[in-house]
Amino acid sequence: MDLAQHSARQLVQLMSAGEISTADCVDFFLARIEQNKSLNAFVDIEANSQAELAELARRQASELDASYTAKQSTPLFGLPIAIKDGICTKSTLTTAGSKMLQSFRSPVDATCIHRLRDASAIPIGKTNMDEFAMGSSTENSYWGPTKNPFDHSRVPGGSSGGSAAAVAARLAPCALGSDTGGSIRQPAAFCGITGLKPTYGRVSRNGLIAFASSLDQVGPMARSAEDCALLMDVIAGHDPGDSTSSRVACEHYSDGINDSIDGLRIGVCRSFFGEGLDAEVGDAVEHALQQLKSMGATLVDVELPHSKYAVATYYVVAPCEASSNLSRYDGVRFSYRHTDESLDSMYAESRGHGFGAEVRRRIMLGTFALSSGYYDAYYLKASRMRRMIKQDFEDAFKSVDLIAGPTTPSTAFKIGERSADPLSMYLADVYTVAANLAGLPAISLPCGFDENRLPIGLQLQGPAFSESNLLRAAHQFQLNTSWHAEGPNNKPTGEAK
Amino acid sequence: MADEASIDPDLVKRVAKLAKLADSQSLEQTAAELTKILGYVDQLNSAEIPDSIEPFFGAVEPESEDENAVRSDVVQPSFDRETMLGNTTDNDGEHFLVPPVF
Repeated sequence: MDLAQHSARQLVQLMSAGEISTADCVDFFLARIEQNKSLNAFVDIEANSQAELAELARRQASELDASYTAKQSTPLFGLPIAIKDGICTKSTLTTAGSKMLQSFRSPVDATCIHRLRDASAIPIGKTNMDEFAMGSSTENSYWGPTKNPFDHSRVPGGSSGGSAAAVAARLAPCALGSDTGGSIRQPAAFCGITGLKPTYGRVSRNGLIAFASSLDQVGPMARSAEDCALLMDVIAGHDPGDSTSSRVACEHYSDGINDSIDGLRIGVCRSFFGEGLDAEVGDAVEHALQQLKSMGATLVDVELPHSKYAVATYYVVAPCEASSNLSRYDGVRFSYRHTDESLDSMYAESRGHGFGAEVRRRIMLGTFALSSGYYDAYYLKASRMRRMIKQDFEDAFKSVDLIAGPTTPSTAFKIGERSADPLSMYLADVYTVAANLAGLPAISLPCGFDENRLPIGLQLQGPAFSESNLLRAAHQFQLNTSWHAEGPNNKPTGEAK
Repeated sequence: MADEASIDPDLVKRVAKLAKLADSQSLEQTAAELTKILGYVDQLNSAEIPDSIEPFFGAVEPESEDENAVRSDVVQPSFDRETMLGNTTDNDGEHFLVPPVF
C-alpha cells in the first residue's frame, strides 16, 4: 500500500478502521523524510532534533496502537503531521530557523499542538523556515535553504517553505504553517498544495514564536481543501492562553465543504491582473475563474483601491512589531550568548551574531520607524493606511462572498535569485499581505502549471470568519479539477476533469 | 514623511544603538539598503488619507464581540524555576547570570 498517495482523511479512516497501524504509518513517513533529506524540508541539526522527534513520534504511535479501542474515534487518529519550526513543541528543539534559538527547548506545546495531540495526531518533524518567519523563500534559515520538490534549483516559497515542500513531496500528509504576510499561501502556491490562513484570532497564537503579533496566524497546509478543513476542525477555537483569540463560535468546517457553490458571488479585482503579473499565472487564474463560473458562481468586478499600498504598509507595520517582539532575545534567557565582556556588548553582540541579515534588517527598519521623530510619519501613517485597506475589503464584501485572484505574481524563482535585493523579495507578497493587514482569512489552492511545470496558485479571500465558505469553494473546485493531485514526479494531465 | 536621504550612516549607528544590535555589515551598506526600502515605503506619501481615518493597529476592535477578552482570575499552574532556567546560557541554579553591570 503506497500510503504517500492517500489523503490525510483517508489515512485517518484506514487507521481508525484498523486496516493499518499508526506505528506503520508513522514509520512510512519517517522513512520518506529520511530518504528525502536533500530537500532540507525538515530541521535536522547536529543536535539530531529530527531523530529525537522521530523517536517520540514512534512512541506516541505505539501508545495509540495499544489504546486503539479507546482512541480510534478521535478525529485525527494516528495522523502524522509536520510542524513549522516556529511553533513550540514540548521538550524537543524549536529554533524558528535561527541561530539565536539553536538549542531552545520549549517548556510547553503550543495550544494548536496540544489540540492536535488530543485529537491523536502525531507530530513527525519540525519544518524549515525563514528565520523568525521573515522571508518569502526559506533561504533565510540558519539551517540552509529548502528546495522546491518540483525543481530543486528553485525556492519553495516562504516562510513556511519546509512545511510546503514536505507536503508536496509526500513526506507528510499535512502540516502546520504560520502566515504573517503570505507565509502559508505563497509557499502553498509555489509547491502546488493548499494552504489556509485563518481569520486573525481564529487559531490560537499561544506557543507560536511571535514575529508581528497583529498579523501572525497559524493555519493548515495539505494537498486538498478537504484535508485543511479536517485540521481546522481541530486547531480552530477560543483559547484563554491567547488574549486575541476570538470567542466567535467555530463552524464545523468538514461538514460545509460538500455544499455546491451555485450562486456564490466571487469578486474579481481587475487591478490584480495588471502590471507585474506573470502572463502564465494570469492565464491560469483566468481559467480558474471560468471554472468557478461554470460551477455556478457569479463573477463580479470589485475595487480594492488601496491594495496597491499593502506592501508598503506591511513593511512598516511588520518590522515595527518585529523590532518590539524580538527585543526579548537578549543573550540571557534563550540559548545563545556571544560574549561576556560587558552587559551592553553582550546584548549587542549576541543579537548581532544570533540574528541573520534579514532579521537584523527588519529590526533596524522597525526601530527606525518607531523612533522619536519618525513614529508619526511611518508607523502611524501606515496604521491609518491599514484602516483604509481594511475598509476596502468591508466595502467589497457588501456585494460579494469572496474575492479571487492570483496568490503570487510569478511561479517559484531560483535559489539565490532575489536574496541580494530585499525589496524584490518583499514584492513576492504583493497579493497576500492585505489579508493579514485586514485580519481576513484567505486560501491558496493549485490552479495550473507554467511551461516549466511549476505550480500556480489561486487565492480566495473572504470576510472575517468565512473559512467555511473559502474551504467549500476550494473543495468544490478540487472536485472538478485535478491540479491539487499533481505531485512533483507526476506527468501533468493539465485539464479540468 | 522624512526625507529618504536622511538615512545616513550616522542615523544607522543611532538606530543600531537603540536596537542593541551589533552588525558586521558596514554602516554605509545598511544605510543604502534601508534607504531603498524606505524609498518604496514613501509611496504612502502619495496616498490621500482623509483626516477622519483612525489608525488600525490590529488585534481586537473596540465594540467587537472580542473586546475586553479577559479570563477568570483563577490561579493556574506556572513553570518551575528549573524549567525556566533550562534554556539560559548561564545560571547558578537560582538566577539568570549576566556580565557585571558596575
